Amino acid sequence: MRFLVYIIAIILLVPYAADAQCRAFTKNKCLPQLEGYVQNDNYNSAVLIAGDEAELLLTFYGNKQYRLLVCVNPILGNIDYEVRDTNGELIYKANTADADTFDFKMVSTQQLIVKLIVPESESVLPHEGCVTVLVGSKEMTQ
Amino acid sequence: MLKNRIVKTFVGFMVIGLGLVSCDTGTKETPTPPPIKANLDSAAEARKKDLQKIFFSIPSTVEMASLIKEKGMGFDKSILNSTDNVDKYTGEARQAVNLGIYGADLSYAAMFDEKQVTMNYFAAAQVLSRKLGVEGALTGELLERLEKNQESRDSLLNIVSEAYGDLNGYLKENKRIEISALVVAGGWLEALNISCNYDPIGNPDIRTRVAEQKYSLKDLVAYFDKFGDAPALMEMKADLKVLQTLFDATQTNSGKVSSSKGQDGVVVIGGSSSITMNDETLNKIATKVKEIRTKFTSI
Repeated sequence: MRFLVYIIAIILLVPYAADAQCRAFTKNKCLPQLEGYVQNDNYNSAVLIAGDEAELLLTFYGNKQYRLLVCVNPILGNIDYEVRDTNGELIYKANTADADTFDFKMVSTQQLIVKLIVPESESVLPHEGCVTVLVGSKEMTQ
Repeated sequence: MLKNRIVKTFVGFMVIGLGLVSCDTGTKETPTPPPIKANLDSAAEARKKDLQKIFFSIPSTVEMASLIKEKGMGFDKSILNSTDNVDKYTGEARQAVNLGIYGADLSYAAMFDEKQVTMNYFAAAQVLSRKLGVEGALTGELLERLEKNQESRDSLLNIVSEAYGDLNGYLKENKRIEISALVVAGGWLEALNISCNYDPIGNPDIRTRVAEQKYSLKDLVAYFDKFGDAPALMEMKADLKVLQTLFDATQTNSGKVSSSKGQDGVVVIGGSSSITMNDETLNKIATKVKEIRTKFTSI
């Protein structure tokens, strides 16, 4: 009985322990992928589980070149992400297995919605892992 | 989707729970079955709300400052919040807002390659972060990296951005999201105040950048609203809402967003959306920003 209580406690505490690892994961695995860009202040990182969806409304300024990075801990597996305008029109869609960065140039200032979709899993034990979204910018090259 | 995941997890716990109950040989009344669907719905809703508090667009102080630099304007230390004030801030809310303000000042100094000023503001930010009990961010290791990477402006900027990103990450991970929100608001306010000091009436690009802060302010207010009536946030939230009424006088011209691939293969996103404002609105916004910022920085 005590053993089972320990097991349940461990299962409940795992997300919090994993949370604490997201900063290290971001520093070591994600930030290097923004090389050549100046990282802006957007630093969004959280432990996600299969079936989670999260949205970010980001402002991108005109005459800038951007790199959007969706960095996923391999424990979670690959995830889908989309970039849409505020009317819901799809601009870009990818799975992190194919492309975890989206480079683009902004002609004028726009708000864009970045949506993260963690696929469902058939596994009984929930998979979870850090997902970090970072944005870097640089002067626009013609 | 998420609900299915929660159902699976919940069922797993139910199985374990049933196992525990079956081990108990005592006789008890049969408990009323819990309203499972209602519990799952509220768990899914709570999870969604938690994620909304974590995944949030942070207005970029770096990008606000970069425009000033790009337009060939000079560095002006007098418009920053003096580091002499750092020891005088008491109370978590004031400390958090001024930590954000020093962060924007740091970005601005780094943008202009003002190495000594950057170091001084980093040290001031470090003092405030310690007062807030944030020992794990803005570390001495980052200060050393700042000292070692003084040759490159981009390195300075990246270290400053990384430091504040890490600070926000630390606060979120330690369930101090309200403090994080105040740091973000302080940074945004300071960056806007800096921009307003560069004669936005005479500089169309800066005027536009100030007007575009309508987007960031809308996001910021929506973010603060997610915390309900949290006492620590009330003062800043009220100030932001007053500022928002002034931004309501700007004109938003919505247009369709277009995207295409450029010759170099990079996607180009265009569109005709713009935000404009007249001199009167700009003056009102600049005055109010200064007033709010002075209130939070004064001792």
